[in-house]
Amino acid sequence: MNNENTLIHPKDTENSLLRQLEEHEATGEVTTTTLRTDDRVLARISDGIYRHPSSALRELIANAYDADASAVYIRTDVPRFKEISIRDDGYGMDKEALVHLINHIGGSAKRTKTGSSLGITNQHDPSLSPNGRKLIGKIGIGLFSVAQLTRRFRIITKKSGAKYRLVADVILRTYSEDSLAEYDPTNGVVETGKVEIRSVEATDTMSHGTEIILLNLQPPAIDMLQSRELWERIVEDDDEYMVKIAPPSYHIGSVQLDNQQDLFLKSPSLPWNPEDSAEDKSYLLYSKMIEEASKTTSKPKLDTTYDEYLRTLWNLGLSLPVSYVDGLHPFDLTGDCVPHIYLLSNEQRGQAKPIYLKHDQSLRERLKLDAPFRPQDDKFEVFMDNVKIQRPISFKSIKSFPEASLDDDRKRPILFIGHYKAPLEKLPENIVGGRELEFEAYFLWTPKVVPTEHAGVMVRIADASGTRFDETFFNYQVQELRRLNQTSAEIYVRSGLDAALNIDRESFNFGHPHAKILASWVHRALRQVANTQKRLAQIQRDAEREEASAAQASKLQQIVEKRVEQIAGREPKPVKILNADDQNVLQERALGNVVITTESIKSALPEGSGVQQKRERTLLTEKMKSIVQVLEAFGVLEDLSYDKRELLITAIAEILGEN
Amino acid sequence: MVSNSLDSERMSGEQREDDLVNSAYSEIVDEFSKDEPVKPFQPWHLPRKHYCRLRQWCAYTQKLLRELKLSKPTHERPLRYLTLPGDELLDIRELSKVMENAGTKMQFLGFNTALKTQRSAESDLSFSEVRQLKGIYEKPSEIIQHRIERITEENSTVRQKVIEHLPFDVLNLDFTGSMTGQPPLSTASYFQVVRWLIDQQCNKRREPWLLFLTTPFARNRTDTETAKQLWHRVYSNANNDEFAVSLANTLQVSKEELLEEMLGSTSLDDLRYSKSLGLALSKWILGLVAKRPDRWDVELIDSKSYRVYGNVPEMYSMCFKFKSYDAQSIDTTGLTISSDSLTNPVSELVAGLALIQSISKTEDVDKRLDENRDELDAAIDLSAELLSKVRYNPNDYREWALNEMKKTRAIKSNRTKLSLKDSFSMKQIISLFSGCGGLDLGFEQAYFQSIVAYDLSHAAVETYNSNRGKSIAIQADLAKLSATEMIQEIEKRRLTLGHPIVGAIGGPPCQAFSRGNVHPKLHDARRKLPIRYAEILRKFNQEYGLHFFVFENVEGVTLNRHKEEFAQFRQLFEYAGFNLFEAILNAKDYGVPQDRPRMFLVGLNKSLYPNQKFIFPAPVSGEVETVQTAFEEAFGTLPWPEPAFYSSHLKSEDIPHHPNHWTMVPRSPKFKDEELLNAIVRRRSFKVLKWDKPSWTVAYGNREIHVHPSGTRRLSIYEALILQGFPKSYILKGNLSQQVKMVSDAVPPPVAFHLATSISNFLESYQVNA
Repeated sequence: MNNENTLIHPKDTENSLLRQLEEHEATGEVTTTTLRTDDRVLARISDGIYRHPSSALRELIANAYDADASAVYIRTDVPRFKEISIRDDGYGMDKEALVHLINHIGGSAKRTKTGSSLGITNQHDPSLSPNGRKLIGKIGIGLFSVAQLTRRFRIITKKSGAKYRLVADVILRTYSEDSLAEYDPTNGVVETGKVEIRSVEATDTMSHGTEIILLNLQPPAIDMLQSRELWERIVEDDDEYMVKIAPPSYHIGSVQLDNQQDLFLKSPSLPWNPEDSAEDKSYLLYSKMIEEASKTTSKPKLDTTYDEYLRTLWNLGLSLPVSYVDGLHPFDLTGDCVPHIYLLSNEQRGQAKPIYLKHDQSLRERLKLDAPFRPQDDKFEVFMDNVKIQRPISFKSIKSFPEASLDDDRKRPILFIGHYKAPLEKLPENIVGGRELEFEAYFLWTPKVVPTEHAGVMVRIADASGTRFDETFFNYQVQELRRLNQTSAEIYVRSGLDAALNIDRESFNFGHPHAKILASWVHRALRQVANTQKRLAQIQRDAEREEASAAQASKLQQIVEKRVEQIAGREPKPVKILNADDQNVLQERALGNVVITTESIKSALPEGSGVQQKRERTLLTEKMKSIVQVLEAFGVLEDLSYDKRELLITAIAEILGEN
Repeated sequence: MVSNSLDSERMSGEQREDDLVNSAYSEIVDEFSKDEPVKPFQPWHLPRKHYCRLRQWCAYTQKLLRELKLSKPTHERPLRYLTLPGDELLDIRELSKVMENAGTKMQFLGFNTALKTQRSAESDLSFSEVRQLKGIYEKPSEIIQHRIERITEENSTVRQKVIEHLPFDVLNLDFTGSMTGQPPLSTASYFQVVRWLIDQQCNKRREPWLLFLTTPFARNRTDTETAKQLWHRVYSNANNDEFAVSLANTLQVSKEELLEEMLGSTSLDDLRYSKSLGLALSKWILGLVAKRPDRWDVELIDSKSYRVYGNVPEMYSMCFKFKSYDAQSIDTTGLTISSDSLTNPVSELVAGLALIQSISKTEDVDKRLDENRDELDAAIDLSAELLSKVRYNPNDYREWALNEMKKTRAIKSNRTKLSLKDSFSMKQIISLFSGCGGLDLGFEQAYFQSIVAYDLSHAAVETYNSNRGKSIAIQADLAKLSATEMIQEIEKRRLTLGHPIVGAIGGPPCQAFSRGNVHPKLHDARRKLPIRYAEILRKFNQEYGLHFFVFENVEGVTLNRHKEEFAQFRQLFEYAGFNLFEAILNAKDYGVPQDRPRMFLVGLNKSLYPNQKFIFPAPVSGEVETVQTAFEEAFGTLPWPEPAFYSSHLKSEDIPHHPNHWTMVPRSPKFKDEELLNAIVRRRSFKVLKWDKPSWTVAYGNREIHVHPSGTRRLSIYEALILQGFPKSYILKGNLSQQVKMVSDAVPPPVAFHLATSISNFLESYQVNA
């Protein structure tokens, strides 16, 4: 029906579509149109920039967040995955906004003045939502991410106060080289599908929100959500060339799918019970993973614990602007629950400084931290198949972290807090790529990061992240592999860095100055983490050894005291170890005290600067002291000249020192 | 082998390639589904369905909310609801209001059978809307795009889903198909669905819960083998005397008839078939819980029915309540040995007797709405309101609903003709002076059945029998026929003792008393007929213990000049053993387009109902039917067919449109010009009907048939029948003057129907109280 040639300016098409829609409202007729996309996006979407179905979900939920939703409900027909719906209670769209959207899928009005006039961004600041949330969505490519899941979807949307709902049925065209032929570069718009819009009467005037229903998911997406590849490998284990693998500890079961008859080949094994609440399920998803660490000696991995679907829940929790699993942001931890806290220095050779919290004082109060940079009462909850999606990270029970111990500084988790604001004000705009760059961060060092996939650094922009934990910490070149594996960090960006994020929001462009600055800061932080941890461990070890030798010395002392009392009926005489040329030697001897010259035992003592040698030297010296005290009490030394005494001591020392 | 191997390899190679291709593409859906521009109304939009939705689903769910303390202020958790809600989720929308009023919420698990690649937007839209309702707990609520039958499969993902949601407070199985339609032992049957759900529910909870079950009990939609097995559940209990008696008295079904049904013959008429199959199914459900060691009991707390396929209410909407008498912990191991002290306090037999009572009290929703204009209006209004939420126009709806109700009414009228062919109705009566059968027709519509009817006129008897396709009426002069002869005839016709004869009806010829007869001859033979009527009644009462009689006559009997005689008749009726109740009922008050006041005398058996009062039916509310509305309904759109004019050669088969659509040739010049229309003609012989008024009394002496409102001719017999409220299919036999007499003497069937219904209700309420 929309045969006007592509030379018509997109804005005109949009207006005519809008007019048509309004005319049809009275008759209930359906408005059909072709789907257009701005060419600047086309290249990026052509072969699917998203790697995983959860990317599409993430993008759609991000859209809900940008629409000021307070709740998002995702429903799949798990374990079939024939369709997925995402409903939010955001402000919804009116005709203008919907028409604009479908004419610019991938080229959104977000962060532009148009956005404000359509009511989808803040009136004063196009980088904010109408209610002041920092927008996650950037160029509105989010909606196109569904192309990776399906070609067919439906949008149902309603604005508060509107007496109608809009229903748009979309069929995306499979992009191919052929369609390039139809691409007319003169107006920068490409046909990417077709759409049918209807306006239907709504009696619930006050309702608002948007629902996107993905129909007929593509087989590759279904296979992935069903962990099909995994199950096929497990089932085919009679194939001798296949690597045998164990099923994940928890999974949604494996299904035989022949359209009507979907039966479980393997029954589900879920980390929760069916009657558990959405919140409890969320916590169990987290805690069952942590429990894996005590079940197995190997490194507990997300990949071997959960199947694709459960991992999707997990990863959504990591990437979305939702609360932490125990409801506590790391910065809200108080002196009661956090062990060592260090404040990271931003100086080049700086060292992290310890911070002490009162038991009820939070990090936030103490260090004036702001992340996640939005009001606490700004609620955003996400539920997927009746499981609450939360960040599967908790510091609340830090002492029960795998292999952690609060009594041993070598095993005691250390939390590093950082805050950095780049002084970019004076630099010229065109060099910097944005005049503001500010972020807050934590680095947690702990003996065993669970799951192992959490080792690394994750950057949150607008409290959302498309990246996983980067285990290379932005290519940290220092040989610290063990400590890197023991470190998990999150960086909360207050401003900047946006432009350094690649279009899929899953990686950074390190050519961008903001990314470079961030990477350097992270490396600087890591050095402090490593140094601090090393130092604390060293101090711990030294203290321990000192303590150990002290203990041995006191044992020897007891033996000596007992035997001297027995034979001489008095306390042992003090023995001093002095250099032969020490003036005190004569004085001590004059007082009747025994002196051992360092020279006399020197040959018996092991050499070397190692900890072990040092320890042995101390021990041998202590023993020699005790022997001399006993010899003195027995009167053996009385008739010997000082020189002979020295020789005797040397002889005994050499015998004891001989291994 | 060797030479083939390469080929086969290549073949399998190609095969695999196809697999690979298939695994990469979903079905290519490149076109939009074509939703109908205007959604048509569906059977489940009828007001009667909404009546069930409100009076059963909502009402009993509300009660359960209170019982479980789920409503405010004790509200602890959302109500859990399983349903088969269709695309529009009407039940969920309506129940959401109940939740909202109770200050609570409901979480639902719905099954929608679609595995369509092209799903209509309606179901998505409805699901989206419903979750935004205040009474809905959104998080766990879901609609599964699957058939519920899949839960019967051990490893099915659907079963897994249900297990996640179990247990439910309310299960609403509104089956689209007939539950009894599947052969026994068929896999994934509705029986297995119900059984599995009941087992799971009882295993997993102790609190009471409800099962709503909607399914037809119809012979032609029931598998014979399944029916046989179900009948057996009732038949085996019928060995118990108490059960057998209750069955025979309450459902009018004998053990013998059940046996015959089990052997495959059709001994039960549709109505009783339906009720007893409903009983059998309920007994099956009772059996499921009675066997359990954990003391569960089930009661049928409400049952409603309506017509879907035919003339008998065969679609049942039932509400079962499950209660546990053992509030102790659930024995999941099943190891607990059931001792005597643990058996159900209610025995299966007692529960079975209760089921008979419940089934017999099944409410005929069509009938109820038909009789109760206020309720119908309310049902239509509320239904229109609900449907407006799924984008139906309320005015279109009202129009459609009323039209559908008329159709149902028409079916109900036809019912008499059809069902009488092969069956006896449950309440039998004797009809005297039956005429062309107007009074009888009304009684038949209220489920009475004349076992025999007498009339003097050959044409009347022929008319009576031909309209019923059965020889019921006998030509006889009641002034001469003895009561003993009549009783002999009745005994010949009675098949079983299970069908009591409950009453007698009849209106002796009334001309002698009519207002028109100003100079009555004292010795008019016709005046003796009421005396004769009283005598016969006395005999019948001695023989059968009649519960009631009905005597219809002209208003004139009550006039002063007939006062003494009428008092004498009354004495005789009282002497026959009845307390008398008298009223003037005007046909125009009961949906008949005719001003026809008639005296009705109802007698109630003195010894059976010594103190009970009979209440006559109240006038039906709503618009008075006029000549215009009645003719419109009868003839439909213009132009209406003109009647044939009488000639000695004219045969009824040759008359177009309706065999009675004929009248006298308009010879008078008065018919030529418009004189009759303009003049205020009060002359008896040229009474002209008014379009916008009910007809004058249809009582045409000496061929003085009323003039058609057009003023150009007299009415046809067919038109007179319409004004008397007869169904269009009713046909009078005999010649023109015989037809004029028959139509004039008839009791309008709608008046008779309302009176019969009042009597039926009276009898039923007495039965209930006894």
